[in-house]
Amino acid sequence: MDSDAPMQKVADAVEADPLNTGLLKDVSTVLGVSGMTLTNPMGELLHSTIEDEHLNEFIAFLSGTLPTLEEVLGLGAIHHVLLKSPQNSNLSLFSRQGQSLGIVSRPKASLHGIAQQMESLLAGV
Amino acid sequence: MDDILVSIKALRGVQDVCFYHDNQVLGSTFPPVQRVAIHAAAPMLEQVFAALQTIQQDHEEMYIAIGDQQLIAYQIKDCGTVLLLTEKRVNIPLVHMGVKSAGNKLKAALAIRAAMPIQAAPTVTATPPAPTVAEKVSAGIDLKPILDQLQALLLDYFGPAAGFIFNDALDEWQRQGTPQYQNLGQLLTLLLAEFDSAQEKHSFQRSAEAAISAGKLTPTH
Repeated sequence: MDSDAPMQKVADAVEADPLNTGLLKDVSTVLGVSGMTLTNPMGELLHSTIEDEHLNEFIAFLSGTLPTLEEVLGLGAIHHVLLKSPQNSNLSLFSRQGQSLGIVSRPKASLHGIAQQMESLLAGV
Repeated sequence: MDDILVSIKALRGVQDVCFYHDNQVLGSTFPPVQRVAIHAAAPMLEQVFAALQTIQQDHEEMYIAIGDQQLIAYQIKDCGTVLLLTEKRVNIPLVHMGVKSAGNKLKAALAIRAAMPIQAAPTVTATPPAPTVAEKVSAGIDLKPILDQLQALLLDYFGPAAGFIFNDALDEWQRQGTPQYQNLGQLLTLLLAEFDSAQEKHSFQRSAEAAISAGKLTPTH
């Protein structure tokens, strides 16, 4: 089986979108990241390495909530949301131009380090 | 309630804070111009926590980078949600510790609030209210100068969170028995448990023991 085939599908799916497959590959190599999910503005999953479907649904729900939250607060654009658990994996959501990248990171991983690397990767998009 | 929120607001980098419980904002330091927006966002953030719970996730801290600021939501178990607007870069451990420390006070304030209608009922007879910590402490030997000094010493190590830490320890000390000079060692033990650094712990212990010893020589009022 061609291992590049799934990524090719992703490439097709995100061809016109700012978050590209090269970025997804880079994200997967960031230390501490155990999974990621890319959603479009409609909350549809473009790509995911997270096996827990509930978590994928939650990430889609959260990314769908952000535009309303931005509107209600009127403080500017929401760039990043971090949800911390006292014991389990942490969740981060990075939002750019309607697309959202959800990241699951290991409990002991450096959240600041991951956020910095993500911001750096996304800055190049 | 407002005093507790003002204490949280005093933490460096915190601009304003509100407390959301049972679908209503019970206290807020937000100015009127921001109040409507922030208070409207509170149930949305509560909904995010609720969604997490339905999928058996236990996340209880939310940090939202928005514009040049940060919106933080801490869910306090069996209590409610504390919502803070902070500067973009803020000392998260300090703020989190401050809010966690305030959690018990918020629970106590909620309990008082819940009990208020019963206290107001005419059938309630004139039972003297339970003495406050301060009243208990002030009974007998005057411990106030010593306690003030211990709290002041904590400031050097914990900054603005010192007040929370000290009051929590004081509450716990009260629960353990009658606050009196002979039991100050217990209070000191509670305070020492808050230190991570062995060096700072030792340093504080020496200063605190000196303050306690000096206090014994102070005449009572």
